[in-house]
Formats: sequence, structure tokens, C-alpha cells
Amino acid sequence: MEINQLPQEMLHAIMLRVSFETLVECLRVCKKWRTTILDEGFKEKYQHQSMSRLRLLFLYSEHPERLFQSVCQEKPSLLSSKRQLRFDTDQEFEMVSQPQQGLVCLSFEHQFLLCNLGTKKCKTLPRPEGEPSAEVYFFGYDEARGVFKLLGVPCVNVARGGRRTQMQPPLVLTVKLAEEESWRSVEAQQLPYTPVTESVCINGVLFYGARSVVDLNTYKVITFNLESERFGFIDLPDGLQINRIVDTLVTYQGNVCLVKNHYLESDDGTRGFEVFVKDGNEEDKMKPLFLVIPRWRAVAKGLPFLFQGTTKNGELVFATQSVQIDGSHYLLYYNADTQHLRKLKIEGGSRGDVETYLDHADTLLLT
Amino acid sequence: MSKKMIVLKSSEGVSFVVEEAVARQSKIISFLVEEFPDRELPLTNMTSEILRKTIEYCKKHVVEDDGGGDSSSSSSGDLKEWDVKFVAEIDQPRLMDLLMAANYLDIPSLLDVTCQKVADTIAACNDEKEIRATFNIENDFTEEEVEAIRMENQYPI
Repeated sequence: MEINQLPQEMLHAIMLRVSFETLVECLRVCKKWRTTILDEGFKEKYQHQSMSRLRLLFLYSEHPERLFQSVCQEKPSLLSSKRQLRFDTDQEFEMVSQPQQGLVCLSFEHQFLLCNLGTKKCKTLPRPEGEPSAEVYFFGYDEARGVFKLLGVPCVNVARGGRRTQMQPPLVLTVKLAEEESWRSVEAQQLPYTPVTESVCINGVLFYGARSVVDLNTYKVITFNLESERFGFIDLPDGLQINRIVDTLVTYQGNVCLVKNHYLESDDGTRGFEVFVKDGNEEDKMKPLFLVIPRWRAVAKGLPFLFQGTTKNGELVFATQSVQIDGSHYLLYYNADTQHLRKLKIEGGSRGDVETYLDHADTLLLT
Repeated sequence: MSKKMIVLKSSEGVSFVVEEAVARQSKIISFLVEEFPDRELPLTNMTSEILRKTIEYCKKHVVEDDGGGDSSSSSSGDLKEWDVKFVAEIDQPRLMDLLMAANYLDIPSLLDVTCQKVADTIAACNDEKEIRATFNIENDFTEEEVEAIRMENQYPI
């Protein structure tokens, strides 16, 4: 029997076992293989498998080159599974979203591009109508409904005396992979806050840090439920501010977490980080949490690591923000159960800055 | 105590006498021997050659439970090594037949081993041309389609 005489379900079983690069190659073998791989049922199976094998995504920026690279998230040291993708463009990315289901939303010159970085398939999303205004965009996915959405919230430069009266209503776009779509205003909600962090998306809710444009000393974490399209507010501990340059939002054990790079180091080289995590029971409050990492000094060896969040296995991930002198950048993985801290070296990027994104996935979506 | 034997019959009508424990690794056979005990089972879409191979695999993988503790004939490491050798010795058309047999008889571990072997063979190819050559596949894309596929793999910026 020849391979192409096998029933489609057998071909599917085989295709689920090849690496993603090989799978992309298989698309070019013959019509039967292409149809087999692009079959909706197979795409779904593949997506399901990929979401249990999450990856880290790195974006290297050294003008004018942008390079994406991804490695296995649970075993990032497996360099063989590394893959690269180059964007040669002079365009400054205004936005590189957190990956959702393996798709990344990029924007440049007020144009939005939904990208499958693996199969290089992209979809241009419509621009909001009217004059481009100062807006910040967040990309999220609602698992329950299988819907991608892009949220645009007005951004006010409060230092230059921006006023709430100038603020436009937030905009939302339901991102459809195969159809046209259009922007809508999120109705009846005045939002006197200007975003100061990137977003994270957890269980169909987008979270981002924001500063009040009414009371400049007030900061909150804003929530946007992708299904109901309603905003909500999470309070920070009294007086806590968010620094838009250095502070980040990440996902900590399934909850939203504000990282301020507050730390203490003891004589034995143990480091303690203070972060602020949404209390699972109290829906609208962020509470301080102290993360203690033994042997930090011995393992980190003076490299500047920033907390990136936790993996699905619960391990804490720290990453350097730039490629070091030796041409590599580094990750720290900390397992709180075993108290094991390990350092991993990632080679092969360009020089310059590195952004690290968790929970990326190989996907056939958009393909 | 003598072991219970069953008879499997290939498409050519050749009978194979197999220990029931060996044959029961196939979920289908396991079901059939309960429904039709003491009957020979005709496997009309399996050639003798493939049936022999399948039985060889099942014999190696049978875990006998006769109360004597771990009487599995091999450790799992040895078994894996044996599996690799087993599929390596089979030529490609027969590998496909064996894969179909594993699916038909519902032997998950054999299906896994054969699918993995095909996947590894694909992965070992350098490009789509080598995949076509290895599996004797005709390139049925027109030049326009090839160009369209090439174009869609370019970023629009």
C-alpha cells in the first residue's frame, strides 16, 4: 500500500507526529496532503495538541531587523526545536501583542496585521474609522466562545494636561479569521483611565494597568471581559503606582500579577521579589505577594532578570531583556515545589533587545 | 495448565494458531473472542504476511499475568529498542499495510509505532521534493498553484 492510499484519519495520525516545520513542508508535497492538513478537523486536533505543548516566543529588535524565534516552553534548552522567523522592515512596530492561540497581532503605521508566524500567513485587519488617534490596542482570546478580539482604548498624555473630556469611547473589533469585520464603539462606558502597561489575557478577560486622568495619583488594573464587553476595575494597594516604563503585567498561576522589580537580597544570595497578585477570592483587589528564590545570586550571576510569569506547570520564568555580550540571552526557571532554580541559555538571536512572550503555540489557524 | 489458543485466518485462508493473551492485544479480537468463543476468526482484509508480522509484534508485547509477578518478557527500554528494529526492517508499502492492520485490529501501541515510523521518515527528508521521492508521490500542483503557495508564504510588509 502507498501512503496516499491511507484513509485521511491515518494521515492525520501521522501528521500529528511530525514537527511543525515538517508539517509546513508537507503542505507543499501534493494536493492530498495539503487538503489533509488544512482540514478543519485536523486543524482543531493540531491546535489542541499545540496548546498542551506551549512555546516561548522571543522578539529580537535590532534596527532595522525584527526576528521572532520560538522554543519549547517546558524544555527551552532543547535547541533543536528552535525556529526562526525574520521580518526585514523599517517599520517600527507600534504593537506586538501577547500571542493568543499561537497568533500574534502586530501594528505599524496604524495598520493591523494578524500573523501566524509559523506558516507566515497574515491577515490585514481594518483600521478604525476616522483620523488615527492616540490609542493603545490589546489583543485577546475568549476560549469559551472561540473568539479573538482587539480592544482599542484611548491614551491620554496626562503629563501634558490631557483631559477626560477629550477621551473617545473605547473601540472593539471581533477578529474573524476568514471574514471581513469592522470596529465598533464599546457603548455607554466612559473610561477616564489611560493605559500604562501591556495587557495579559486570562480566561477571556483582558487586563491592563491604567492611570486615572481625573486623579493622577490613582492607578488601577482595568479588566475587559471579551464576551460581555464590559470593563471592570481592580484596586491596587493604597498609594501604589504603576511605572509605565519598567512595570509589567504578567500571569501568575492563572491570576493577573503586577511586577515592579521590587526585590531584596539576603546575605546567602536568596532573593525575594514583591509582586502584586489579584486575590482569587476578592475579585477586585491586588494583594502583595513575596516570591522567595533561594540560590538566586549563585545562579543568576549578576544578570538582570525580569519576572515574566508562570508556565502552565507553575514554574516561574525570568528573562533578560537584551542579548548579552556573549551573543546569548538567558532564562531562569524556578520550581517552587522542588526549590530548583535553573539557568538556560538561548542562542541564535540577533543583538539588541529581546522581548519574551509566554504561552505561544504552533498553529494552523489562518492557514 | 495449557494456555487457551485461538485461530486467526488470513485473507489467503491460512490459519494462525495464537495464544489468546497474545491476540487480545487487539481490542477487536478481544471483543470477538468473547462474543464467539471457540471459533476461528477470519481476517479477510489481512494478508498472511501482514498477519504474521502483527502476531510477531503482539507476541513480543504480551504481558502474561499468571500470578508469577512481573513476567513481561522484556523491560520497557528493551521493548522500545525492539520496536524500532521491528519497523526499521519493514519496507514502506508493508509498513502502510501494517499501519492499516493496527488500525483495523485496534492495537493502539502498534498504530503508534507505525505512525511514528512514517512521521520519522517524513521528518528525515530535507524538503518536499525528497518527501515525494521517498513516498512515491506525484507532484500534482500546477505551476500557478506552486506560485500561489510560494506567494502566500511572504509577509505583506
